[in-house]
Amino acid sequence: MPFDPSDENLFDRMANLDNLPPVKKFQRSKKNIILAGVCGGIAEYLNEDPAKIRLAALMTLLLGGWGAAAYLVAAMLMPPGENSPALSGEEKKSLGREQFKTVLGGTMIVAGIYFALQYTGIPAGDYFYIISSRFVLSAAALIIGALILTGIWGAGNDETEIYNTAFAKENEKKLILGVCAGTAYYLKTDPVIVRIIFFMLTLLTLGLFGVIYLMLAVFMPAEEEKKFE
Amino acid sequence: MNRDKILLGVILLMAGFFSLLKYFRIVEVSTGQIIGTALLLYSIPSVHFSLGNGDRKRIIRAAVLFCTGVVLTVESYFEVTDPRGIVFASILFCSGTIFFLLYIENAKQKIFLPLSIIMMLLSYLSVTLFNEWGLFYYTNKIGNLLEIVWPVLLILFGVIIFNGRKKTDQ
Repeated sequence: MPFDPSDENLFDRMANLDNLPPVKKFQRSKKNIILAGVCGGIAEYLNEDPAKIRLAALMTLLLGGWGAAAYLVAAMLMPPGENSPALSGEEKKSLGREQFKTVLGGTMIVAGIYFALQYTGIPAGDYFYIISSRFVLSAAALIIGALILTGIWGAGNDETEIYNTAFAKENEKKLILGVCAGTAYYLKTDPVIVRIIFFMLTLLTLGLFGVIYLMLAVFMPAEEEKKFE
Repeated sequence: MNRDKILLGVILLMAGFFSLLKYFRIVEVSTGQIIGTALLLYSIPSVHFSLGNGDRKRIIRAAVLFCTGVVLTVESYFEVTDPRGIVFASILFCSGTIFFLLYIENAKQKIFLPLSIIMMLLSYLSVTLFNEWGLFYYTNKIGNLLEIVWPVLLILFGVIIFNGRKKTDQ
């Protein structure tokens, strides 16, 4: 469109240039990183939830691994993001937990779809391009092992978190009798995960774990008696 | 440096190396042998490290991995006549092991000891007495059902965990 000086809107816009929001840059995230921060960067650029972008990226593994290659290319091409304010210890922990659940939940969804496709006879994920997935997985194990040992990927210091909680029923987050919530509190984990595990084990052991649940409900002390040791 | 991660790095390196050797048919090992051995090698020191700093989640994870490693290794060396039956007994034995380790980790919680003994006894009875009662007839029925619906369950649980990602822990 040719430049038109009579365009009032243009002059108005030029006058307000300083008030415009900063231009979004397509770059890797420095704040929300699991591998290289590509998904986090895309999420920041699109103003989306990073978890959804990560789930979409995991889904591409079912299409022959093209997404994994695209991820590597993007990691090389996208510039690293600018330094953002450092997160506090609690924020880091919370983000770590969220990322763990995103990856765990996403992997379970993708694995479920993969096995469902296998069951119906639709091939998915047997080959990454033309390379056998067995070769790719072996090489991936080797590379991840090397990355961890060389300290490039996640080799922090030993965590010495003392778990000084008592094993007792939890009233606040209970669903039925508070056994799973109490167990989760004792293990410092999410009650949802404990409930899912209990449900699966009850199913697999023909209800035997249901009996164990009831036994725990009877013998576990109530929350009022919960004391720090 | 984090000892658990060093251990994980070494095990992954070894497993990847042997998988590649297997892929190129340089060594004749089964996938079950590689994964089983890797799990055993990872889980034993991991329990030792966890008991040292009282990380209960890691104790449970290591116990589950150890039992899985034992089952995979046994399956790869011996012919198991009833693979589904072994799952039932293994779950009970593994649960008993977890409760026993939790008792060792915190002996003040006495409830774990009787639970672990009950679980281990049940796992023994499940392959002897319960087997005679025809228990595995029903486990096979459930197994057949799960074989069809388990991907759906996996997706369902995945969605639950994914949706619950922003909830804070205790």
